[in-house]
Amino acid sequence: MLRVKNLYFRHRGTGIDILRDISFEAREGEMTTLLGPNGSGKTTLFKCIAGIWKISKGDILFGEKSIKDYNYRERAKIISVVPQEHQPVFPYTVFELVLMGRVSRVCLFSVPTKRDEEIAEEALSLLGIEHLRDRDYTKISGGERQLALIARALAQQTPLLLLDEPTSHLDFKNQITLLKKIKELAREKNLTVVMTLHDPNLAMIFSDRIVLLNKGSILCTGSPKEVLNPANLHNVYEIEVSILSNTDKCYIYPII
Amino acid sequence: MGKGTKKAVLFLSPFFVSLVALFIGVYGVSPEVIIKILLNELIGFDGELKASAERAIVVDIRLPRIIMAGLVGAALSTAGVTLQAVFRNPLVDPYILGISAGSAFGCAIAVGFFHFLPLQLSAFVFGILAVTLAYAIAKTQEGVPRVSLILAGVIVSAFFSALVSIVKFLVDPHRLQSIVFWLMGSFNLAEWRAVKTAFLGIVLGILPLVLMRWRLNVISLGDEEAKTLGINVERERLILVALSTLAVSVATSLCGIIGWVGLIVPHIIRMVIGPNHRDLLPLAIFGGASFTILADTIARSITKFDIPIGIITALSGAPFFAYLLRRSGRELWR
Repeated sequence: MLRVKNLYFRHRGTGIDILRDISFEAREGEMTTLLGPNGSGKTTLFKCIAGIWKISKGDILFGEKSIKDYNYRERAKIISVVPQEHQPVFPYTVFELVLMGRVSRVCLFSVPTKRDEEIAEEALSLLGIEHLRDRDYTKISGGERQLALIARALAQQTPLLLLDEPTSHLDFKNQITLLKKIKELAREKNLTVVMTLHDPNLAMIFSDRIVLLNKGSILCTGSPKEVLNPANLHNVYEIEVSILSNTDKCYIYPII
Repeated sequence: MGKGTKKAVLFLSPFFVSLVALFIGVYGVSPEVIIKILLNELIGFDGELKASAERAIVVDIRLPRIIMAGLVGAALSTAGVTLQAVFRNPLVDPYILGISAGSAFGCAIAVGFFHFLPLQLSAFVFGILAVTLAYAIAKTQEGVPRVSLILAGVIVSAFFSALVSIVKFLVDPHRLQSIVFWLMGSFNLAEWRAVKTAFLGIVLGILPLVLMRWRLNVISLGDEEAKTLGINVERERLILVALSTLAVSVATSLCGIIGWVGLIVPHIIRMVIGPNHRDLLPLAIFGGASFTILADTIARSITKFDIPIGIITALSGAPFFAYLLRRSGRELWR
C-alpha cells in the first residue's frame, strides 16, 4: 500500500506551494487515479511520487517504510514509472528498451545477465507483444510504444506501478484495451497502480479509487461514484455536467 | 552479412589496417624485409638486421606511429559515443564540444609558461572546464537543446582557440614552432615513450567506459526517465564526461587537435550494428583505431610531405557532418 501523508511541494527558491496538504492511499490490486484539470497539480504530484522532484514537507510511505529519502536505485526497486510515450534519440529495439527496466538490478560496471534477459522476455509476453521484440521502438505505433513502456515497467519487478497519462496519445480503441490490460495486471499480480488521467469517463470506468485534485490540493477521494458527481466536477472543471446512469454504469457528459 | 560476421570484421580491422600501414611509406622497404624485421624483433636471430636503417624505420618510426594513431582514434571515437549518449545529441563529439580546444590550451600554457605543470593534467583540467562551460551555456530548465549545445561548443572552442593564439603570440620563439606544429594535429612525433603515456592515459579513460557501456542506453533516454529507472544521472554523467575527457586530453596532449573522428566513427558503426551501446562502444574503439590509422597512412603517403592528419579528418568529416545535418532536419531543433 502506498500512503501519501500531508505532502507539500514548492520549487526551490519560490514561495508558492504548488501542492498543499496532499494525503491519500492507494491499495494493492487496485487502480488509483489522480484526476484534475490542467494546472491542478497532478503532474507535479506524479513527479513527487516518482522521485523526480523532492517533496518539501510530508511523507510518502510504502508499507510501513518512508521512501521519500530513498536514492534513485532503491526507489526504482519499489516504484516503476511509465512515462508518456515518446521518441528516444537512438532507435533501440523494443527488447533493448524493455531490458533497460533492469538497470536498477545491474551493478555500475556490468551488463544484464541471462536472467535479466529472460525477465524482459517474460514481460513482453505478459503484454502480448513478443512479435514486436526486434522492431525499432521508434517505428511502431503509439499504442505499441505505450505497451512496450509498460513491459519495461513490469521488467523492473516492482510492487508499485505509476503511469503518466497512459492514454494521452492513443485512439479510442487503444485507450480501452490498454486500460483493460493494466487493470488485469493489477489484479493478477496484485500491483498497486497509480495513474494520472485526463478523461473523467475513463477514470469512472477503470478506477477503483479516485483522487480529485484542484489547484494544488485534494478536493475529495473515494470510489468513482462518490467522487464523480456533478457538483464536484463543476467545482473542478468549471463546466456544467450531468451524469447519465443506467443500472451500474455511469456516463458523464457536458451540458452544452 | 550476419551481425556476428560484422562484429568480427570490425574487431579485426585495426590489425589488418596496421599491417597494410606498416608496408606503406615514403622510404621504400620491401614487404619481405619488413616481415623479416618483425620476426627478428620477436625472436632476434640476426644482429646485423637489428642495427639496420630499415629496422629503425619500421620499428622505431612506423610502428609506434601506427599504434599511436590507433590509440588516439580509439580515444576519440569512444569519447564521441559516450558524449553523444550522455548529451542525447548525435551531432556532438569532443572536438565540437570544445574539449579538444580546451585541452590544447591547457597544453599550450604548460609548454609555454608553466613548465612545472604536468602536461596531461593541465590538458585534462582545461578539457573539463571547456565541456562544463559548453553544457552550462546550453542548459535550460527543460534540458539541453541540441542546436544550443553545438553552438555553445562553437563558442567555447573559439574562446579557447583565441587563448591559444595569445599563448603563441607571447611565447618564446624557440618554443613557438613546436606548439604550432603540434597544434595542427599529427602523429609524426610519436615515439615509444609517448606511446606508453598514451596507452596508460587512454586505457585509464576508456576501460571504465567499456564497463559502464550498457548504462549509456538508459542515460540516453533522458534525465527524468533514467532517474525513475534507478540511475543517479547527475553523478554518472559527471563520471562519464570526465572519463571521456581524460582519454581525449591525453590524446590531444600528445598529438594535437584532431577533429571529426569522434563524430564520424560512432555514426558509421551505428549504421552497421545498431544503436545498442553494449555492442556500439567496444566496436567504436576498434573502428576508431582503424579509421585513424587509415587516415594517418593517407596523410603521410599521399604527397611527399607529411600532411597533418587533422586536414584529412576534416576533409572527410565536414561533408559527413553536413549530411547528418541535412538528414536530421527539423528533429534537430527539439
